[in-house]
Amino acid sequence: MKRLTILLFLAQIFACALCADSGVIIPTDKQTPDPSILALSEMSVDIVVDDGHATVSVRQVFRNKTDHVLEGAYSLVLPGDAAISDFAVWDGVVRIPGVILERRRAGQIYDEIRNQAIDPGLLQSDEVTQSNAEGEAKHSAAFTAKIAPIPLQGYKRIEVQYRQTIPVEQLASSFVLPLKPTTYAPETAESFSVTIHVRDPQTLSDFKIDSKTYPLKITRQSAHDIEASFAGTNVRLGEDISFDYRLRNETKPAVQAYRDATSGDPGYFETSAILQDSKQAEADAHAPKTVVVLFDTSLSMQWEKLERSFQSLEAMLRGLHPADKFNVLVFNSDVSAANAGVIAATPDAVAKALDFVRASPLRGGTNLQRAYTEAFAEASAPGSYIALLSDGELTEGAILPARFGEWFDAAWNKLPVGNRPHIYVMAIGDDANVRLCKRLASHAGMMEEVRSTEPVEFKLKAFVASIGLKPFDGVDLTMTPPNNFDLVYRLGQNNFPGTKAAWVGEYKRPGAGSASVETIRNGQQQANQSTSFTLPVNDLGHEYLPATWARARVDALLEKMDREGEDAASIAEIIRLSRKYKFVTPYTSFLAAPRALLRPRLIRPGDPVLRVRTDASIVSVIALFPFGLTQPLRYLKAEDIWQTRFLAPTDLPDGAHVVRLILRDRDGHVYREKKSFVIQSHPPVVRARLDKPRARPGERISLEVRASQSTRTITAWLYGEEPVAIRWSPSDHTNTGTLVVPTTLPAGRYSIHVTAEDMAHNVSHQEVPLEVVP
Amino acid sequence: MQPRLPSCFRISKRWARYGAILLAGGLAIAFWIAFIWVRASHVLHDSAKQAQTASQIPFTLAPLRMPASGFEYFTTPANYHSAAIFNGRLFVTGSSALFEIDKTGRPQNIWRVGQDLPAAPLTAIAVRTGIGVPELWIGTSGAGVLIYDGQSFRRLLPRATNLRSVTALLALADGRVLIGMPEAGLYVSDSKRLELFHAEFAKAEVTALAGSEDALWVGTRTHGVALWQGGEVTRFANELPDPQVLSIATNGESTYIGTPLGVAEFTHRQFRRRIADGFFAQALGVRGETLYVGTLDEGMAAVNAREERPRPETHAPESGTEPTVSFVNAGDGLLAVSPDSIRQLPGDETVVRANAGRLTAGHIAALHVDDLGQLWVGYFDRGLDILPLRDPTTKRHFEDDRLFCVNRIKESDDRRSVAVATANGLAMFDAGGHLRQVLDRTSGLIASNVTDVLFGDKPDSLVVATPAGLSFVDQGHVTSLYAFEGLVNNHVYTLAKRNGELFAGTLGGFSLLKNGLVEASYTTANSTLRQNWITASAEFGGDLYFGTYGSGVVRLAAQGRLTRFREFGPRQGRLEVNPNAMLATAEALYVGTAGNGLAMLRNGSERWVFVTEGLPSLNVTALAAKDGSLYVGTDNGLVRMADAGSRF
Repeated sequence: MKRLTILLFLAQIFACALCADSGVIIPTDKQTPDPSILALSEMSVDIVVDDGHATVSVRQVFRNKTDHVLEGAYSLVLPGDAAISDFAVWDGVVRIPGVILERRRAGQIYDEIRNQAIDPGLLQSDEVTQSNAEGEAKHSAAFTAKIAPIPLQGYKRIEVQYRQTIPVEQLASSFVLPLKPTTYAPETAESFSVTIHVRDPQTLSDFKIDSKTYPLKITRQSAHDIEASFAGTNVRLGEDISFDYRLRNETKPAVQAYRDATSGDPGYFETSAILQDSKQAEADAHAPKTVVVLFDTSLSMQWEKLERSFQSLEAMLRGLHPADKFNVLVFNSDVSAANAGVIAATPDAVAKALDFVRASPLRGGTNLQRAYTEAFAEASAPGSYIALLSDGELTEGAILPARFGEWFDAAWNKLPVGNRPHIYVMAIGDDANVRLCKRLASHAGMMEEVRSTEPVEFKLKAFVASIGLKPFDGVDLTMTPPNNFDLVYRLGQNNFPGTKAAWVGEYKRPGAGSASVETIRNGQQQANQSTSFTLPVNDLGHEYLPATWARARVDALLEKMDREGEDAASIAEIIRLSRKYKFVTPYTSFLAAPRALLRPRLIRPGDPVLRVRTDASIVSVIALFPFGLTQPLRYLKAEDIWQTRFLAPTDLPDGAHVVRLILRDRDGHVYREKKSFVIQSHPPVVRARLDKPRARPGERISLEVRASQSTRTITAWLYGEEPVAIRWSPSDHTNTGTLVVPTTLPAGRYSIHVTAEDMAHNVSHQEVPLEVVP
Repeated sequence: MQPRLPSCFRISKRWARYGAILLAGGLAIAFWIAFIWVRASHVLHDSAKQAQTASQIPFTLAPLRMPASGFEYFTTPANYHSAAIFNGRLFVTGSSALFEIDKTGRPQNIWRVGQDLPAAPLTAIAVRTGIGVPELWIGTSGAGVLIYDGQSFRRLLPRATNLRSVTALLALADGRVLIGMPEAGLYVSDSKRLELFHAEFAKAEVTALAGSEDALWVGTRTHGVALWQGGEVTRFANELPDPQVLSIATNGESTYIGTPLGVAEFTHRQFRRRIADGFFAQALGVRGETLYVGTLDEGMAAVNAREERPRPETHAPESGTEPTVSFVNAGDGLLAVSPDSIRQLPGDETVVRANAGRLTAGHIAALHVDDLGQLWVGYFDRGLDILPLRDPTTKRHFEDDRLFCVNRIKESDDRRSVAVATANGLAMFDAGGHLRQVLDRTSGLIASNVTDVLFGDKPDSLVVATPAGLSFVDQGHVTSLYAFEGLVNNHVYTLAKRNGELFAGTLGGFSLLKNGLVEASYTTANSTLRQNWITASAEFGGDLYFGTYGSGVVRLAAQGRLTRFREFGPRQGRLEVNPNAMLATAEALYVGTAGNGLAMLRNGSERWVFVTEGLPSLNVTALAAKDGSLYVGTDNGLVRMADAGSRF
């Protein structure tokens, strides 16, 4: 008999961390998308970025290549702070749109439909998690839905639209459409097209498309408009689509407006401005600085989050100059420091600090209060920065975000004004407490949010580059005449020079007005940027504006409830806005009925334990294994999970196998589900090869790595350099990467460490020898 | 003077020569024809013989001889499975024994698996009639068919190992017996010959058999049921509630097919309807017009088959939801077999009540003997027993939502605490066997599923192995590390220590740790390991031994040299060592294998000895030793033997 590593990859509501793909359907009895069963026949993506607000419309058509009716789980993970704004499934020629309902009501309808023996579906954001104390909402953008039926030899069309705000930092903006899967092999679209339309009231320049797999052609380019497109057949979706551009440093604010005169609604406006700074202030930015990094090694940082934190830490420390001072405080329940105090950021000191962090074990919970207490003590000099790398999960000390926020405000304000450190936060992971991190970063700092799967480079670069820059203490907008404007909200909190500050709000009457943006530092006005405008009677050109305002309003209400507790009026308004503008909140769900199926369940990786989470109505679960074993599962009340364990025969090969579950509810209804588990008894095989065995300092070397199909990530690391991600190269039909031999590396024999990790977090290493010659 | 012949008879010498030549030629031709004829006859004869043997499966039929092992067995629950009336007596198969029950409901004879019968679970039973002396045929999982004539056992053992597992038996009226196999199809035997029943069933995954030669029903695991009738096969799958057939019952012209989602009824060999929708129909029995449906999770249901729209009624609800695993016709009644009892229907009178057994279950996952003389038995999918060895009448059983699915039991060096590693946490007991604390992920462990545990040198310090990495518990503080910190693989199966060094055996090789930091890792890529999956470890004679899943055992000498045992086991070292089934005593190193019994390396020897006879199963899963006794746990029971007994 065989003990085994079992992975059950289920597209389901409660375990979305693994489902990191941009639109895939996983057949119910499979653990990964299988193009021989369900092929991606068509995919088209339209990306419109209007004044920094992206609307992404994805249409996908899947083809059932079998002679059976199929069902599958559609999985979509959104980038950054994106939010679904529309979702529809086509049943033949009928479009079944998703509707937003109050969460409780959605649950009731779901139950009613299920009692009628129709498979209902509930599409909801994973925004409320049990791990957060008192159920406070957190942001996480993972969506799944069961898709059924997919007719035999037929097609299933799915439409998804989401919105995302693209920040402007140091006059640059970057957009990423995540297509490359992190957990599955890349899909191939038989027909694939993408269109990009970027427009901005500020002057656009240096538009650059980074994607090589999709050779996008720029079809139109002017100062305020850029259009690009690509269409191809049999396109392997093995790379993200990303582009970036710069905005000219224009001093005048820009005002956009939207008003539907027939609706009876107020008009909506957005005012944006590139924040300006003096030359002296820019020069001051290069003055030596003190950086204290808080590195979270609590248990919740396991896997990708820890890797990403470390990558950020490494970039941050290697970006320091020897004249700068730094320290790294590794924290969890306790705090331990890499150095006794802040020390000069010499290459040796940085290397030692990185080694210290890598040798630090995971432990305990997250005590941010204790970590910041120690950080405040170290970052006491003027021009100090405290950079937090964490998911912001509070589990020890003050664990309520509101209470911790109050403590933090008080502790920060208690410091002498000139000695208050800038608070930088890198919120890492799909389940990061973004609102808490934002609140921390509002203390003369900035926040970046990095999901576990999105490319980190651009955000990391912006984050590191802004350390040393002095943000404004305040940025204020004045709209005139004041009584014409209401409910105005700031989008983002970045107060750094070179960033774009934006506000959205309502206006009551069309007509002339003016806007003035004032920046303040050390209590003194730094710049006053103003402009005049005319608000339209009817203009539907910037259709993103009402929904953007609504989200900002909902965020403000949620923050208010974080501080002051829930109130019925706020909840009612959140539900109303959410339904009107179609976005999911902690109080609403997307209900797509009757063509989807939800049976929440969770099967955790284990050995050899099978765990299943079911509806509360289920009273019996029996597993039928492919080798003839029948096992009833045991209900664990404390965890609300059904569990059993089994031994597979020794001759059961590695790969996906199907276990059937027979579920019976208290009314005697019986449900039959197929689940797949993967026996993965071997770590990935990795074979790495350098293009040349010798190289000189400063020279570039190419690395070619062949790895098992189950491999999820490959990284290569040479002493003194940051790890390099090895990525799939369609032209070379292998994974490739380029390393640069550090110019400071003395001649000698070294090893390049190549690490491959599979979906089960099995890791394989290979050392590739490299001789560095003078 | 020679007489002269008349001239008409007189031939010339020349003609005489011609005649001789002709005669010789004729003889030669006749001889050649005879030779060809004989040769052809032989060829035809051989062909016929070969044709005859090609349809037959090589097997042996020999008296069953089980040498006395001298091992002491710990009784397990009977776990009844199937039953038959033979020679007027009730014979019942259980997981670990065959029981002959007398009329008072008490076992008159018990033949234990491993001791009296081969070490393989008993899976099916049938009574062969139509011959001189009736025989009881008992199917096993892996050891062929056992045949009991009322006096002694014989074993029908196919040469091919894939034909040795049986899922169903059906005796035909002509004295032959059908043998259904889980993957290899359907065979028939009269104990002189064994052959494939028909090519149509060559690869059938047979789960159940019923009917007769005229109309034979063959249930399969994935393809519904097949009806063999007049040399033709008709298959039914879409008609069934589910394609997996669990049970079949016939009653005159009606046939009932039990599946996980209900029952399909066939009348006159035609599909009629579905009944008992939603019931997990793992057993079916018919008495009169009533169909009894034995389920896994809802007790037993009774269906009046005469009704047009029959509604299943829970039968004898006072019996609770105890599973019913099979039915057997007993002359004037129907017997319902449950794991620990047999009831007579329709009155539901309990006619046989099984003894509970010394152990709570048969599938052992971990063992330990403490200084108080108590045997700790951790079960694979149950909880924990603590058995005082001096008092066979008492035991303490622990089982709850966290204390079950046991992986490992370890006692601290100071004998003050015992750690029980489970799939849901690490249960800490004091020396008196009282549960004090359960550590899991909420307590700071990197994962709740604990695969192994090691007590540290300091008091209250532990190293905990999990599928997500290692956790170090030190006086209430928990730290963890995994691949990020350099561990060769997150999935840790086993822990060992030697001279202050910690070894973590994982799915991807083993890592050496010093002071909580990974110092080196051994894998197939950088060492002589032939298998990265390390499942067990033990220190023996100053060397460390690692068991692998697929490549036997390797030895890490004190000097750091890694050696393979090429001769380990019958498959040139390609053996699976069960997780943490490795134990070193002063006498020997013991290794539990998956399917090859217990391996033993005596102190000072380089030759492995394999113990297979006398074990209740060849799947040895747990080991413990104390005071010269070795406790060997398997997936089907537990035995005690002498530590490195002289018979080896």
